[in-house]
Amino acid sequence: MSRTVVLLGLMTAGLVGCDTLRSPSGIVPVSGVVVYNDVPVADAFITFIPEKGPKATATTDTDGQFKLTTTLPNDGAVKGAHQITIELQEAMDPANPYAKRKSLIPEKYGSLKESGLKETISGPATLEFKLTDK
Amino acid sequence: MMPQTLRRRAGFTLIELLVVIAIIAVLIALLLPAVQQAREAARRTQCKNNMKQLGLALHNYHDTSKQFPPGCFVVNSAQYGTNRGSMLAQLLPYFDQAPLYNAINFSAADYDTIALPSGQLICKQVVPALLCPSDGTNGNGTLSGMGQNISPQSDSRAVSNYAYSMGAQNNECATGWNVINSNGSQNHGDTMDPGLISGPFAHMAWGAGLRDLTDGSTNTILMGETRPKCSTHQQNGWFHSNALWCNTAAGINVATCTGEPGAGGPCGVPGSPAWGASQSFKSMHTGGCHILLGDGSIRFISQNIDFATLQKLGDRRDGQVVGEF
Repeated sequence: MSRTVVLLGLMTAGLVGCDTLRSPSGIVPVSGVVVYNDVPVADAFITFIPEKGPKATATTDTDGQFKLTTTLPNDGAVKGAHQITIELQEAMDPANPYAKRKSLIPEKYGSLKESGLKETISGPATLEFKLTDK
Repeated sequence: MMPQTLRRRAGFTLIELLVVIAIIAVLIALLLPAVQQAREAARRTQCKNNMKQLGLALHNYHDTSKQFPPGCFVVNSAQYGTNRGSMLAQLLPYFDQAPLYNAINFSAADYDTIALPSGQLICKQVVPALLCPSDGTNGNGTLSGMGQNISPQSDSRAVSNYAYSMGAQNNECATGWNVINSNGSQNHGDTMDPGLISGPFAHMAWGAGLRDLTDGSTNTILMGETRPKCSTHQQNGWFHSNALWCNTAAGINVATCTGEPGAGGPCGVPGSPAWGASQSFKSMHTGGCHILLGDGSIRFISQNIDFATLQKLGDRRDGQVVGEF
């Protein structure tokens, strides 16, 4: 009889499921800092575009620090090779949302083809991006 | 008289009872999680059905006009302040809203002032078929507060959970907007030149025909779900020319709703000009959102979809193999 009770308990326990949001598998925490001419860059928008999988994004805080987000806040990025872009723009006319915007860091860092920034993520990582005028 | 047979005393042994209880327990345990999800599953099905009707409407429109309806009826970005009607306004008669369509005076200077015989403004007329029941953040179908280019700005407008796709279009705060090639280079899709538009609709008066979906209609996104609460432009409403221009450049379910988990930064705030992210496809369904493909089929795509695959689906003529998604 005790065997039956144990069996019953196991069967019930095995059927309890959940349906919550999860990050895709193979995600590792990635954080870092962005500096431009040795000054930390605040509010810069960073995008990690992997060869395979969803992209990860982050915005730097006042110290230039960032933590990447793919699905859940600060969960990181998928493992593998990434192309990286960094953007920081300012509206030339704050009153008009459709006004032209100018870049506060060299524009090439915002272009997938020209940024030249590449990282391979194989595990939890802390990165540093040093941007220069060259 | 029938001969009486010898009877055993009726009854169950303890083991038999336990086995029966165990079987019942298993059945209940199987059923319970299903019941918990049943309501959301029903809402999701209705949500999907609404989108299917829009797919059929688009194809019927195409049969008549030999092209999909243009994104809206403005021809230059200076006209965004004036409502000239959205693509959904053109589709109205194709999803059983002919009376609404007939009430539109297409020569009106500003469509915001067009009213129904009852006096109700069309831009405030809630169309239930354009709302996804899973999205509980639409209020009573109208939203106000953050709308741009409408007057008065604080006025609420009837919104839509379904928006058209400009494809992998260049948009602010959508880096890597087209990782395959550079189709769709015009920022915000502000053009009527098909060469500069990645997807089947432009932000201005241009809409593709099926002939323009050279990747094949099965491999091109026509429409998707959006969340008006999380996008400044969607709050302009389903009837407005400057509302429905979504894109596939930023991913699925990118959090841009202030006060919701994950939202933040210049690309996560609805009020800032972070339109790549706020005008991306998103829903309240767990893990992804529905999209309408060019052949009229609906797919639920995961928010963890391969970024490059999403770009290929958004672009109507990239010439790339899409693969599984």
